Amino acid sequence: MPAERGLSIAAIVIAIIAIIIAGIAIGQAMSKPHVLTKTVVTTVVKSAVPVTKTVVKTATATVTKTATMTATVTKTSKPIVLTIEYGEPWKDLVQPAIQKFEAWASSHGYNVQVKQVMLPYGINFMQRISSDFAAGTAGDVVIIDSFMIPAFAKAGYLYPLDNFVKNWPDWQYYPEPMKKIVTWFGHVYGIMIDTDVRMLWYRKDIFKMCGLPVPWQPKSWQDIIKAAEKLKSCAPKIEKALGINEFYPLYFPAGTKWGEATTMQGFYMLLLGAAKPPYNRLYDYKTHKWICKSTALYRSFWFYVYTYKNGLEPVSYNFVSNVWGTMRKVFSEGKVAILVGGSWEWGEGWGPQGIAPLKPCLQKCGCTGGKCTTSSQIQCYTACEAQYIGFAKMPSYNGSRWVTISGGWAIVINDKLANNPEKLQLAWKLITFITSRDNEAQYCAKYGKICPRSDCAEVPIYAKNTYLKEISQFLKFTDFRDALPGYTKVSYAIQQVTGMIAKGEITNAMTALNKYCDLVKRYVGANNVEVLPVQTS
Amino acid sequence: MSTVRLENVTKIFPPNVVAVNNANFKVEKGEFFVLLGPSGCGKTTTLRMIAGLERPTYGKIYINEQDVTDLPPRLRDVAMVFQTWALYPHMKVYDNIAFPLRLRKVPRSEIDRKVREVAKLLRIDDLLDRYPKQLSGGQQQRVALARALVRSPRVWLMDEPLSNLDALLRVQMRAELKRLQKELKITTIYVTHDQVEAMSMADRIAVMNKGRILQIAPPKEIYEKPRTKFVGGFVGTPPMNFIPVTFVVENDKYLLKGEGFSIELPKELGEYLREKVGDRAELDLGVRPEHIRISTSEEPNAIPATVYIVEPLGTETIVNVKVGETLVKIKVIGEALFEPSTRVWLVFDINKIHLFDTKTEEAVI
Amino acid sequence: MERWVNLSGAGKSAAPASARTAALVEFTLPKLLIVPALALIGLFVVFPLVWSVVMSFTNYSMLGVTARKWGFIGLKNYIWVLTDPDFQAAIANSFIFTIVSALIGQALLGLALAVVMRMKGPEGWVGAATKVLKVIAGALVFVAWIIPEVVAGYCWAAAMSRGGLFTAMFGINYNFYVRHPLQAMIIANIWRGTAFSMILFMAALESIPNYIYEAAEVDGATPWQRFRYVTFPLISNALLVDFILITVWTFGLFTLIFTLIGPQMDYMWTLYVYVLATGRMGPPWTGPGPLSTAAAAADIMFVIVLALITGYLYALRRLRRWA
Repeated sequence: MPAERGLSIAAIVIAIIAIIIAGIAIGQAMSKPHVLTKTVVTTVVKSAVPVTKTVVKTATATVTKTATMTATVTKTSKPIVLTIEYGEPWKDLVQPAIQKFEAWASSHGYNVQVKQVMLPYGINFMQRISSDFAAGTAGDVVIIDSFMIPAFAKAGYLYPLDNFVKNWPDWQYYPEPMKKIVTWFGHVYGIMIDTDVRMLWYRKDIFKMCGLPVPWQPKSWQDIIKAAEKLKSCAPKIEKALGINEFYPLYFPAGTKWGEATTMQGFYMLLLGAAKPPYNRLYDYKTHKWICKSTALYRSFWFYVYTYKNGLEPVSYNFVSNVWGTMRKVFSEGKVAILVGGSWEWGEGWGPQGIAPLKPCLQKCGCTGGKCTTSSQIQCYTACEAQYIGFAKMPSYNGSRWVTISGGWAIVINDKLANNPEKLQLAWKLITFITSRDNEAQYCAKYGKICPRSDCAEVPIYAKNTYLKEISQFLKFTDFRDALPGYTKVSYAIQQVTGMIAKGEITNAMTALNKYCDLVKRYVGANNVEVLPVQTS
Repeated sequence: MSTVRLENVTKIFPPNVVAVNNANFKVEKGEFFVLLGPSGCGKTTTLRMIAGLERPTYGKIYINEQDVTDLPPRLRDVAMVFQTWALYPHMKVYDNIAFPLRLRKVPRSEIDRKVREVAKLLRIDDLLDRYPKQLSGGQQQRVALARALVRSPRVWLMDEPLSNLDALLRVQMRAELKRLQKELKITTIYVTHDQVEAMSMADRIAVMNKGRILQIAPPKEIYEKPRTKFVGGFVGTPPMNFIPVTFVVENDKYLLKGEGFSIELPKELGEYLREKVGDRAELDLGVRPEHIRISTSEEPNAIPATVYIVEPLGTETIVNVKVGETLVKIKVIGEALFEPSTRVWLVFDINKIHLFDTKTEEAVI
Repeated sequence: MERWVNLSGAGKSAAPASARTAALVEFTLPKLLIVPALALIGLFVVFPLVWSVVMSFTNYSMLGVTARKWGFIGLKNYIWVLTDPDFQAAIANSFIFTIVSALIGQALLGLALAVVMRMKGPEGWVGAATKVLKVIAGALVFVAWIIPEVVAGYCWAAAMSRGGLFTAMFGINYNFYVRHPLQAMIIANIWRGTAFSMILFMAALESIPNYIYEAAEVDGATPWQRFRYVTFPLISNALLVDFILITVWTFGLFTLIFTLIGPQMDYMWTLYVYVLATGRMGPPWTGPGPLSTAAAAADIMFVIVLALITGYLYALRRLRRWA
């Protein structure tokens, strides 16, 4: 029996060693072609990363050459299959455009078929699309989250659209920030199809209760803190009036549970206004380094520390299992008076068919089942909502300017079309149909989203929506994330540190900054960060 | 050395199964007392009540005249050997034997001395390092005995400890057990359904049937003077023959009349019987196979019978004959050559016949 | 053996064709039939294992440049993971979680429940009532086991929320699972997994014959001694088997914890790997979704679990000698 035991233990040990050796061996073998020479690498990933001028030139040459060829090439009898991959939320944007595109194609003698790959609600679009790209099975035209553009572009998944937009008259209607989001190291990789902005939402009824002015527009961070402190002193009164058991004046998302929203909804809204550009960012585009320490970062962390330490912000809402739902619910119930949030919340959060509609408005308009259904009810509710909820522009640190940030989804062309000029032309044509003014205006008006094109306002159906028209003004001063490769990691460091602040594990802005810097160094490498002077006053 | 006494002990299992019905007996110091009976007669339940594994529904149990009825087994200082031996499978032989001592916090050196002593006595001293699974049945049985012996209990209780052994081993162990018990003089209560075992080992036997104790007596007395038809029939191989007869007094003759025969009883016996049962009574004539002689010619007081089957067993022969419709077995020493259907005459040893009342089944002589 | 040698040289031997066919069917066919199964095991068990080890020595990632042109980088991933304070915290918490919730919580509670379930109740209506209670308790514990983990996780989150069950029962006026994530994980896992241990122990107890207890009783053992010296050693076999299974399950638990406390990577190594693999963070040398680093973290845990299991198996061998 002892022999048997010894044998099996030896067998396990040998098996482990064998697996490790096999692993190393296979790893070596498989990695060899990539290690060979640098030249191989650059040829393999042609359109990736800081593309050299010569490469771009050749690409341009091909494109222009094929452009002239198109008419002759496309007369083949075999149909060209163009695949478009997109999420279900964009169904009403894509499908009408495809119809128009097909009509155009047949009338121009192209034998083309559009194959749709629609990803249904409920799956994580970006995870699916990422793996599709990695596996090489992504569509020819794909709708992706705009902040993935740098990562995808660096990976060589995306075809640069520079030559297309150069000759595209509609490009002028995109405000500068909308162009910047889809641009990476000088090249345009996509066209925005919808966007959003962020602002301060506040409860007018609670403000009035506490003797604060309505409408409210803070001019600086101090104004926000002052209002929050005043609201806190009114807490017992507010709790009694609304019949609630807790009340927090302010809510900036924090922690990892919120994921990217902590960074974008919360931290960026502070950071972008915390110092003068270009030192109000996470990345230094001059030195190509991530900013590890700066005055702006310090001030942003300071805001979190001050408000969470003094009980102006709710801690546990950041860690509950459904942070989004909770946030919408507590604001609707009046447990939070000022909230930093996205423009979509007007409809999606507290609208007549939103996730957490206002109870008094539902009652007033006779809506049952937590939803307003008839058009008269919806009209009544929308009017009522405006009496309870207002929004204000986020001020910068000292009140010198306004701050907001935009994200949204963009439409891109798969780099695998680079060697198929004919398909490339058709793909671009399809994009122009999808992003056409009328198509965009129709879609955005229907879904209450902000149209990334400024000329959408000329379309009556869009212009009719006063809310959309008003917040579209935000696009003038909006900004975007430093969504370079590595951004998600830096963002995660922000989520971690703000989470620690919210939990009370960090109670000092400098400690927070040091912790952040340590994490960023771990995530992107100490060589890739820079420390700027920090002004703590 | 201790005494055990049961006083009106009754055990009723719910809902209303009477397992033991009003048992009364006293086991004397150093006595080897056997509870004998067929399965389901209540003998094991009686033993378990003495061990404390069952609680009597009524009555009291005394050990050394101390009332132990409400004491749990561990406080009674009795040892028990189970039919299955119940060795602890996860302990080596040594630990199995040492277990009762360890529970009593006996010093280590003393445990070791006692275990080895007992093991030697039972000739298992070379098996101490084995697990029960590695032992033969006889060896396991001896370990079980050793475990019961090692702490010198007040009473030794054994529940058919030999029934799981093969025939030869059983005979050997019987003798060994008896020798041990006599040597150590431990009061022992032994349960068995094997009457040979009981007869060969017991100082006294209590025969039980259907929860009742029918007779308590030394083996010889049980054999010779069974108090009931059941006791008579249960003890002895081959069992006692029963022939239905009618006792009549005719012309001052005392006769037992059966189917096609009539036996005249001696005068004293007849008068005694007449006093007991009157002039006429239905009885069962019980006679053991060894108390019958076969005659090939007609004799006075002999019963005519027909040979049915002959079973030669080597040193003796069992002759089955038919008296009327009743089958009667006769034990004959040596060989006996009878052709089936031969007409023979049976002569009973009249001093050794038993008569039982047909109704009450109690012995009348 | 001789026959076997003969068969391998079947061409030369003078065996008749029918015998050769029979031998082919009897000896060669079974071996051929194993091949598909072996291939499947190789594809779905061995290959992923080897692949995860291979990957952990590279800078492969789901996205970014390293998704396409990855290379061999040695032990960098292992060093990065092992020096990560969050990973260290995750390992420590994983151990605490496994020991407290599985080995102590599930096993001990399961054992206690199994012993209680097996106890003989008193006669009469009290006994009948206990019997009914036992059946209900057993059913409830069992239900906890068969409820899907996602449902269980969200149910516990609700119960541990402010104003939920914990507030009603213990007056805890805050989100328990937010302030005490580790305790919340432990409670949820004990609740969920006790049934398995209970069922296993009930079966083990059932297999101990009653007369062994009676022998111990007569030998002078108190109820505690009977448990300590008879029940416990006799079910220690089952106990170890239970330990092996619940250790593996609890150590690899993800869904229940994820639904309860979310991606808090310093509370459990599976959450750590999740956070890594989904691209929220990672070392500088790989792109978003550093599968290679995640594989390194997972391989470290694999070795730890393997060591644990080997220890258990060794103990089991020692125990089984008497059986």
